[in-house]
Amino acid sequence: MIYYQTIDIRVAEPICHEIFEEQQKAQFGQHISRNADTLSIAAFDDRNVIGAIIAKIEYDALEVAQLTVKKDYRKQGIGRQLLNEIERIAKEKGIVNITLTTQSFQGTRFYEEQGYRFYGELKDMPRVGENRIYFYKRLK
Amino acid sequence: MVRIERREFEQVEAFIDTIFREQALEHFEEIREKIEETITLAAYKGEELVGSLVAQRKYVHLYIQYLTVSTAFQGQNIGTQLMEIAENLARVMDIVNITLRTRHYQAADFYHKCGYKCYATLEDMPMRGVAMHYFVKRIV
Repeated sequence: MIYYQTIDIRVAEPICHEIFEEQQKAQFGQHISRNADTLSIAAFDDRNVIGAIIAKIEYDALEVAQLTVKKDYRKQGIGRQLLNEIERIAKEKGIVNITLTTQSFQGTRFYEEQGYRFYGELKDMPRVGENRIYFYKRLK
Repeated sequence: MVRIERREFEQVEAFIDTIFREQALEHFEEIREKIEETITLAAYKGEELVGSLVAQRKYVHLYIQYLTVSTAFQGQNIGTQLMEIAENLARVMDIVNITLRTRHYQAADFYHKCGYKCYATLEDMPMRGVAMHYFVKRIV
């Protein structure tokens, strides 16, 4: 008899990791390092932070989790500089794909100009009336 | 003169939250509090944890981060049961989209059977030699 209940994530997460590791090892015949890292880079005007980017690395992939520039500093190429810096580090680390998402009202055109390719769009994400758009860039 | 520097994650994250709140105000005229929640389900046989599901909710989106069933207990519908329980919870929570990702050697057929639609596939994700399938199910 199997029964189901909610449990603490601290119990569930290590078990999920263990099962994935086992499956991954069976698939590849060896252990593969997750290579997990977070990159956070800020742009400063004098001592003030005016823009920032956060990216998460896992295996050969980098996901840009956040990219933002303060209102008064937009249209000055700061977002591009931050993205370029992340791409530079990604290349150095041998990353294959960069992925990111943007909302309909945010930076679709900006990412296209930076060489990112559309690969998906979902409606009502994460709120009703918003669309989430998925982009990626292959570095090699 | 703008400088770009790598900083501590917490410092950058706090800054980004501020900017996103500003941006949300520009577009929605009001701040809607982020609704975030983690759902963790477990399947037990007696004392033994034989399967689990971890999902993250943000607004009306639920992302299934992990679904695992111990090797010895696979083929007994435990995964299906966990997915159904999560979906029922999602309906109660007024979730619109449930998303998840799975690697080419994992569970694409299973998710198709559960009514999920593959909306994108990326090659060499998250590592060379692996294709990642992205799935969605609208439950409204």
